[in-house]
Amino acid sequence: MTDTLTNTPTTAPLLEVRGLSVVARVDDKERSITTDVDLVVHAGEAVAIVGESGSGKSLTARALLGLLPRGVTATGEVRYRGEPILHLRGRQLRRLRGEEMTFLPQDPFNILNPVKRCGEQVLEGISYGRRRGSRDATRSEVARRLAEVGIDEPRVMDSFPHELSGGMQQRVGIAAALARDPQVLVADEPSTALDVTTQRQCLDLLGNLRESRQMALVLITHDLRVAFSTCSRVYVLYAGSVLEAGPSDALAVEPLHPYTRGLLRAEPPVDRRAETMEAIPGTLPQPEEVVGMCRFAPRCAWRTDACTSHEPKLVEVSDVRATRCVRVDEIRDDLRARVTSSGADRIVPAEIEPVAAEALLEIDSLRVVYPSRRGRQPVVAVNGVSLQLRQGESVGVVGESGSGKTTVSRCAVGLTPFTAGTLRLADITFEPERSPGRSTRRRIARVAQMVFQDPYSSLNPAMTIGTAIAEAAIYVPDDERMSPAELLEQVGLSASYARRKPVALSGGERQRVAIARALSARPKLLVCDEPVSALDVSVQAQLLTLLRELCERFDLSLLFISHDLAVIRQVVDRVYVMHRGLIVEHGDVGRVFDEPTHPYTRALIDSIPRASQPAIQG
Amino acid sequence: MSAIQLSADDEVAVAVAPAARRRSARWPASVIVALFVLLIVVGSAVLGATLAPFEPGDTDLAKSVTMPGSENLLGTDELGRDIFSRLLVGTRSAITGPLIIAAGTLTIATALALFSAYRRGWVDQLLGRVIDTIYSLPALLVAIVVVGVVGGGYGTAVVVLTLLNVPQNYRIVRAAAIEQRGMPYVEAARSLGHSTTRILVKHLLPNVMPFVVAAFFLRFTFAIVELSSLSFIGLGVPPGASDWGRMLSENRHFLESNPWAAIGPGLALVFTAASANVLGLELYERFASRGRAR
Repeated sequence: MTDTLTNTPTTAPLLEVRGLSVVARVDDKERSITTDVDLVVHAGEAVAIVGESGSGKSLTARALLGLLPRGVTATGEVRYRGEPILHLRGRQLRRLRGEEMTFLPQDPFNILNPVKRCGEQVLEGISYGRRRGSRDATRSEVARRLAEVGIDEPRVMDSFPHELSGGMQQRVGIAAALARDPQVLVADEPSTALDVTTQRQCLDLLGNLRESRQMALVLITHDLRVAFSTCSRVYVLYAGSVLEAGPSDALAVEPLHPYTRGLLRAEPPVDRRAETMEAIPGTLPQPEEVVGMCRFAPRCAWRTDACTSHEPKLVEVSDVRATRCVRVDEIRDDLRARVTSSGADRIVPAEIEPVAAEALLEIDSLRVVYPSRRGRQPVVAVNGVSLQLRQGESVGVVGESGSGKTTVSRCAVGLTPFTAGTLRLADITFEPERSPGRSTRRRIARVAQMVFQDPYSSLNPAMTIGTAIAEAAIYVPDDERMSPAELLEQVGLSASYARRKPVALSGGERQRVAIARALSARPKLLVCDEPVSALDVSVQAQLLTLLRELCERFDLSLLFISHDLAVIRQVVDRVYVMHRGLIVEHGDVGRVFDEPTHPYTRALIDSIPRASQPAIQG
Repeated sequence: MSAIQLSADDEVAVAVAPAARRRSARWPASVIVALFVLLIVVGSAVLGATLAPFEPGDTDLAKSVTMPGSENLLGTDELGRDIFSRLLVGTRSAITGPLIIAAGTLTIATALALFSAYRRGWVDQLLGRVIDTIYSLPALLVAIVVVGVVGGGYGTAVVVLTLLNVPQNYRIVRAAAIEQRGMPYVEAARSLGHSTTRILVKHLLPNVMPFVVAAFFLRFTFAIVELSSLSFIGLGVPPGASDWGRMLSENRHFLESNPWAAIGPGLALVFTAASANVLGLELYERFASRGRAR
């Protein structure tokens, strides 16, 4: 069946997976991670496995190379050039890895051995099982390999990983992975930890390498845009099962599964402020919660009894496409219509600024310098930033990591002392070089509250949700105070969450609680530092919608920090673009994003992967 | 290149997480035994004097050094005192001292550690240096000298051992607190305007509790041995008192005629210390697996 799911049905597939099930064994109990996954990869082809957290995409990739962690086992059939490989051990497995298939792990900052020079790490792979040639010969070979991944500077060979940027480390990692000229490269979220501009380069590099080496690429990603722009075919994984498979260009315009459509719709558009953001309701299930039915049924708008009575099979719809949706024939037009209609959304103009409104936050020539440590240069994180935020206004700060955007936001709530400049929040004037004392912090707390990036660590794990929310309100006068139940309802959670502890909540739910806690202090300004970047796409949109609603309902001002231009466009009126501690451009979000005047802003916008870009054909 | 990165992988974390959760559902046999032993120890510490078949101090030279029998379960010592009764009554001094030491040490160490981890800067530096200086003193040796020179017996020994063991526990708790201190939930508490005391007690303390509990039991275990060592060399408890260390020391002279007079208190010490250790480890794992911030 899956043989037909390819662009080139005549040749035998290079890698073929049938009925792959990954199971974790925990205390003599089995937990299903994936069930019945079918994949086909042809020689030289780029294939993406797309899924949100818990979909089993990473473990599927690891299973292909026998890299599953202890206690996790795979059953089913994995054939490489027709030979079954799942049972391979020891020397045979090692020959398969590296020589035939190779794996590029997730985090670019940890893929290299920190105590070995980069050249050695590439050489290690090249000379594996062979005699090393002369010093000059090996050095020139390593240099050639590094040049292949776009590193022309010979000094990199003699550098240690920590001396290189994340993007460079990743390149060295790729060179090392390809040292033995494998036929398949499995890359696990290669671009996720990188900045947008570097991300683009990384994806381009992988695409070029695939082409020049005629090597197959299996790209694991959570981002449909990344998948579409790099791969010719996409498998959509959800809760451990493939829900849809097909060519990128077809999937992008005509999804054949409600989940794919939901993912496409949940992606915020970068070219406009969507009037309504359509999120997939609910949260990601654990695979065992959705056994014996369509895995997506509990969150699906088209659900019928047929969807929940049994688990549907992956059915081919055409030569190249397959879906697990049982109602695909009935709702096909519906799915397509809803995707294309997204372009017709009315463009919501950024609200007209209330000119008379007084500035709530006024930052002028702010400088933050971290003192030198052990003979190193002092780090200038923020180098003269001026920013105004008026009452009731939503302002965004966008930039890459290291741009200083987070530092500015932390200064605004007094978490980081600044070195020079002036900072005024409502009637509180901050003093440079000093952390505010308790009474000042209390005054700040009544004006500004922060929502942090990582919902997993921003809630005290030892405290129940109710206590955490109630505790935030202890300095609020009685007549303004809101009960935890009320606040939970405001952020879309039931009051019963008050008794739970953070560990029992999903990422999206935790972030809602973090927002409720911030609101509990009844602030005028909400400072959000990358509030949705740790969340899955299908949940992101829910949070952005919530933030918009809350700002309106509570008459809140918003200072929104993000690296994601599409996200920031959805929530703010004005935007500041930061680069290396400086603001390079600011203005109305529509103007800045549509007609950028600064080359850096231009570069940022250009590096966003777009689903509409033609997929590289394999 | 192909090294597996467990921490970087969400799915792996999801797959492995319930292990910790389910682990706490049942008690391992070793812990049940340890609990049982500690129950007996605490029981005899409270009720020892009433349960003892003989007055622990009653001498009967006619029965000097007898083997275990139906009347004297573990035999008698040189002065004809009942070993079993003395063992029971001795439980109290065997565990109250260590309990006070463990509680005292951990209270002081935790308070200082949380404060300096949270404050950082010169407060942390200064405290650290003072703590390091104290750390360089050998606790047991100092205790021997102080108790030997100044006198004051058991109470003095407890005070000295409490104070001199603060450093290592301070370091354990401080390391744990520093890890937590950088967490956004602590910053959230700061930006909510909470006082330092509140942040320390309500936010940091519950999250370093696993380490405090583990350190408490470890300290308790060592304190049992340390106090018994002092008694063994004749310091601490007054002569004639029922004390395990003292009994061990006095009764080792007639091992041939009644070995149980020395083995009894020896075993009591070993079982108590080992049980406390086993229970401490289990509690640590339970605390640690319960609701950590990822």
